[in-house]
Amino acid sequence: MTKTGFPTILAGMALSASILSCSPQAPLAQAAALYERDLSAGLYDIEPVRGEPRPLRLHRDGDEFECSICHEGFSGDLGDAALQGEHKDLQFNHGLNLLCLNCHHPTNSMAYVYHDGSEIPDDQPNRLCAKCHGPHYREWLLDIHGRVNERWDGGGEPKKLNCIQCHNPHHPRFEPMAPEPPPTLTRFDARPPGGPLQ
Amino acid sequence: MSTPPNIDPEHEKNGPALPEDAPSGRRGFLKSAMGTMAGLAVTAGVLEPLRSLKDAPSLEEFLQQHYTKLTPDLMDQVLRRVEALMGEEYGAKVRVNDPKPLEGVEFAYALNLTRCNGSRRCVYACMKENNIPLDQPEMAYIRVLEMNIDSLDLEEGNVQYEASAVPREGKYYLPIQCHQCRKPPCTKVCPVEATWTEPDGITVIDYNWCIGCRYCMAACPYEARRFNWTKPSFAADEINPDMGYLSNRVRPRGVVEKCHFCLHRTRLGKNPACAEVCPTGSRIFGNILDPEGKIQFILKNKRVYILKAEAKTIPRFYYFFDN
Amino acid sequence: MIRSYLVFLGRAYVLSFSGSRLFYAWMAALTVVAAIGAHEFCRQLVQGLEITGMTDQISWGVYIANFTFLVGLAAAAVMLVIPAYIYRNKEIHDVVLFGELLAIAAIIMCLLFVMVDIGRPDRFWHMFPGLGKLNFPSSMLAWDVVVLFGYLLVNLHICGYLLYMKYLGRTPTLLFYMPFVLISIAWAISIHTVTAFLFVGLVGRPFWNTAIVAPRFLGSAFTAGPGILIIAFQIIQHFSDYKISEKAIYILRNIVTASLLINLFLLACETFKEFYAASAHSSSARYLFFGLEHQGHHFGSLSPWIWTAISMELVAAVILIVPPIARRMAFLNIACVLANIGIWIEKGMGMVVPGFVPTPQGTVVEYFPTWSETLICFGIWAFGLLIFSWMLHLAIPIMSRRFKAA
Repeated sequence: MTKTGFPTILAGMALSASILSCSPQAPLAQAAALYERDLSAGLYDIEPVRGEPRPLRLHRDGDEFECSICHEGFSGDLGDAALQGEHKDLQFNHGLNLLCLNCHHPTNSMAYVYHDGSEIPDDQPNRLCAKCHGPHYREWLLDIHGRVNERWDGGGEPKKLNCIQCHNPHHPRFEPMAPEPPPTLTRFDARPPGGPLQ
Repeated sequence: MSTPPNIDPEHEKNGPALPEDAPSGRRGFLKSAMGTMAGLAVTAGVLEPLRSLKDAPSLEEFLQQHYTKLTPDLMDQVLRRVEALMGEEYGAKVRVNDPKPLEGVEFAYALNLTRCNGSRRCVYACMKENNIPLDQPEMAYIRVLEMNIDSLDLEEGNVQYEASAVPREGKYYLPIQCHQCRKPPCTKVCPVEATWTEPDGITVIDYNWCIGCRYCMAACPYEARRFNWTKPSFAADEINPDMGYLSNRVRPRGVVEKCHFCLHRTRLGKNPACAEVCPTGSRIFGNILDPEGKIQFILKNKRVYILKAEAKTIPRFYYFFDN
Repeated sequence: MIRSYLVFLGRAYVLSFSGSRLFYAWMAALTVVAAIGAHEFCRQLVQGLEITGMTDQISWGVYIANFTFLVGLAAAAVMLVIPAYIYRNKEIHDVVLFGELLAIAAIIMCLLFVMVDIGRPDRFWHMFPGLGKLNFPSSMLAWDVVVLFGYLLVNLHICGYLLYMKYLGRTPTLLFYMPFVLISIAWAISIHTVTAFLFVGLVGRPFWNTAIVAPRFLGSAFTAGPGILIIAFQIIQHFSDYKISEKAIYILRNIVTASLLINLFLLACETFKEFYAASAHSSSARYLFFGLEHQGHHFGSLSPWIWTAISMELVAAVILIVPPIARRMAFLNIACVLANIGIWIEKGMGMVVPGFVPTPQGTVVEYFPTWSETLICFGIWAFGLLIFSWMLHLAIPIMSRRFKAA
């Protein structure tokens, strides 16, 4: 390389740099129809992920069912016997709370029972649960227990769910659920198979 | 490098020295021409990759001032320009807003470690909400650590746990995202004030001001920040068109990003995406200035745990345990 | 006056492009390496820092490692400046300028390493006070930019002024350079201290968050810089007619010896603290020296490097403190090379990378520089050497009074 080589490189670099920095931005794409995304369905599933909300009222097999049709004729707590018979499909696992009539009203099968034997209407099961689960009830009232689909500022439509709409009252503990796939740690990790995740 | 030829004393008597081997005649001309050619070839070779540069900033973008120096008029122009750019680069019709902090509101987060079951729903809802490419989960703002039930040692935690069902026996789950500190080390170290804390307690980044030095990433004790090593790529139908300028708009290459408490949602009264999606209700979001609010209740009544309290960054993100 | 300065610049320009074939070959080789680095940098501009091996977990790599090492090299000029200007040591006074020129080249390399490390070099102007929004005095990086530019200007002024006076054959006016020399002494210490504080000031990185980093940086800098100068002086001696007294080299040897021993001592202090107390904060040191077990895997790619570095420094130290060996120039050169490589590893990769491992969330990710990244580093080093060679090419004839005003 001769002596003119070096200054030429420098001059060339300066020139190219100035050309590049001044090059006009590509004209705005003539995108006639830009993709418009409808967000009415939401970006992600915010329904209770552990299943559809359960019915609020007393029910059986998914249908609203008048318990009194059968329970008209007898009263008293059958305990385990009930679970062997008509209610043998019932998964029952509620800790130390073993007796039907701890919750169900002994004479009005379409109501729950309060401590003093009075009735709790079947559309207010939260009052029933509160008999034992005081702290949770208080936190539920404050929106600290339960899913928070509503706004943080309390505005908008309240979407608060009742206890038994999430928890199965006879088996209140949730089943374990499948987690989303693990993240990659760096961009050098193998990409998750099968393209974008759900 | 022996004696340079032009500086022998004889020469100097006749004024400034001339280059001794100055190109003269045909040979000199040829030499000089070859040198020039070589120089140009090298330069062209060096600069060749720049021909495929596609996302160079426009002049207005290059000259754009810091967020806090933009007048409302200028800001509006900037927002419209970003919208146009989204159309141009991704073919998506988007709306970029710049919601301001609310009076009398300071956001805080409380996360129930007893309830969290490690389902990672928050991780992916956040990615969808905040325009993080779904095939780059390493960019997710939230990472969930599976921890041993008898330990708070993060080094024992596992981010990449795989399970058919969670929670697993003997484990608890610790999601980590930006803690929106009251004394943020990240804003302190930024050399250009591209990241700062807003009056409502959210630490934000001006993606058009960040120089990409990544000092904030080194400074963050929570590993909350991510860097755009390359330009994020999306199909138009993957983009969340509801964008905030300081939050979830698609970030350019070469800048840092992080969780911003979904400020484009939360400043309108909505919950952040992670709180809204959480299947267990472990995530509580609210205004810490509200004495009757959820956050205050938790702080007063629960056993609250602050991650890395020894760092004294005083986070606005609290973990708590149920009885 | 202005005219004679312009004539000087013109003649210096012409002189820059005249030299022996060897000089041309050397400069052409450096240009080729620098051009390859520049080409890779252009690729990085197009694709982003994706082409490097850095990740969100290890967000600084070999760029910042080189930066740290080179700030030390720049600061080391002070080890010549103090004996030359304060103690009026004649032998050192004859060579002090070379040290200052090395500092200039090193600072230029430092600034280039910062430029290639940032994701948006087009926004570099955001750091200019007035135009942009420099976060001074809060950000240590803002401090670093200020002190590096300041140090560059101070040294450019001192070197430029003294060389021009020499060229004119005039005695330099004390007032025009001595205040700057005094400033440069304090400034040299400060650039490396500020660079150390860049790391020290981070609460989430216990490996760096320790007061010993700044002293260690100075110890290693005052080993590496004079070590490189010892070799540079012999090269100058060999390829030019400029006579460098053996005494100057011996003074530098003593500086290297003392600094290397101090550096090793501080390293030992640090190592004791990390391993005897062995708290959660020692994980990075454990990773560096022995590797870490994490989620059933062993991560230890740095440990061979640090043991190599320590071995090299120890061998250099032994050579330097055994007088019969140390007096032999060949062994002295070996010691300087070993010490420099050792320090480059120890305070470069061995300092920067373990700070990120394990991450604040306790995960362990390793860092491997890519080819592109490595070529960019070589390119910057070649460019720095190019600048240094060019400055020497002009300075040596001026200092030997063969290039002087008509």
